[in-house]
Amino acid sequence: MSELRWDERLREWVIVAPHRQDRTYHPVSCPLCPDTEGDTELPTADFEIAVFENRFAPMRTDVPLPPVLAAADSHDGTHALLARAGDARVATESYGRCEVVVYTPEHEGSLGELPLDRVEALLRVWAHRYESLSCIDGVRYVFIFENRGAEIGVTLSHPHGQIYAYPFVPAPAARETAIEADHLARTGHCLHCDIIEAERANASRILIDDGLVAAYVPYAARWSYEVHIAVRNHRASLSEMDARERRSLASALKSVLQAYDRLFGRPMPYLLSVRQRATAGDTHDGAHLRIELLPALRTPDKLKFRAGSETFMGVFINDVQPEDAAANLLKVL
Amino acid sequence: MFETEPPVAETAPEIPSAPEEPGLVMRRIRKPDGRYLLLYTFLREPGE
Repeated sequence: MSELRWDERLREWVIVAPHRQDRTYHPVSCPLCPDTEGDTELPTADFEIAVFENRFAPMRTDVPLPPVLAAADSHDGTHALLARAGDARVATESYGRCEVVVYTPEHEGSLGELPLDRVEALLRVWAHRYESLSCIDGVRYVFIFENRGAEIGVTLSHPHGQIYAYPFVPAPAARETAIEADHLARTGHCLHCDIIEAERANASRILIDDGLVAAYVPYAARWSYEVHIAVRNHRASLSEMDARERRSLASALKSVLQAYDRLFGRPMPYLLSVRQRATAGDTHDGAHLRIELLPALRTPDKLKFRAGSETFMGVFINDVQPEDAAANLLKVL
Repeated sequence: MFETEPPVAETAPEIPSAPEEPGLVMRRIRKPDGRYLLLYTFLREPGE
């Protein structure tokens, strides 16, 4: 059984989940390939996209919602509650929901190689899961993400991603929410709307700008070929996009992922994160939908590691000038 | 290994589902261990 432990030093939650030591690790038979027998998660190939509960979930909702989490009534309610408790050590059952999203019945390929229609369909499924998981009692943040590549620890190569529904707002997201709220209060503008327009005006890091969606290497990129893909209109979540924006976002995502694989002539390992309003029921005005991509290679044969400065101090050292990264990506876009 | 008409374990978690938007079809399957599997397909207009 998993446990949530409160780290009183950083005022952050840590999930302790020893049962995950037994999770599937480079199996001979892929559990994400459809089959009618054997140790597969998918008994049929009659689907375009499939979603199931993670068998080795670090969070589960078949335990009661812990009172310390239920008591939180705002973004940082839990944090404030525990901060007031001083140095008391708090542990509770690891409440939450974890889903696996299988992008295709086909084992070979990747998100970037899927047909545009399928990428667009995935955005619709992500939106539906975001709305659905937001309805679970006690869920305060729905996080959609993908880890790609054995280089960063992925053990199943079948194209898939994950969704975690946390019973709290993770600290980095809470910090970003506070910054967004501050910017909104000071300027009357959405922080991300301002960033997108600044990138469009500067243009030196812009990769794609079709009027609906902009893809760019951010000004202060932390990873060598980091790219953000943002909907230009102020949309707080996947659910708020119209059909044209969704098509455009799918197209930009596919283009950037294909460019990654062409950049060094090999599949690019990356982390993908959908950033949006914490849950569908949340009312924070400063959230702005975007997809953030953190690729792990800095040269064809060198990985960027999250080492001492990055891990302990949060200070990233980027080996590539962001403007050069954009120029290199534009050559293969 | 799977059944489309489950006996659902009492401890099986609720399958969270928002209303499905037009064109999106979701089939629900309950696995023997109580976990759910959701199969999505999409109805597309010709030429879409």
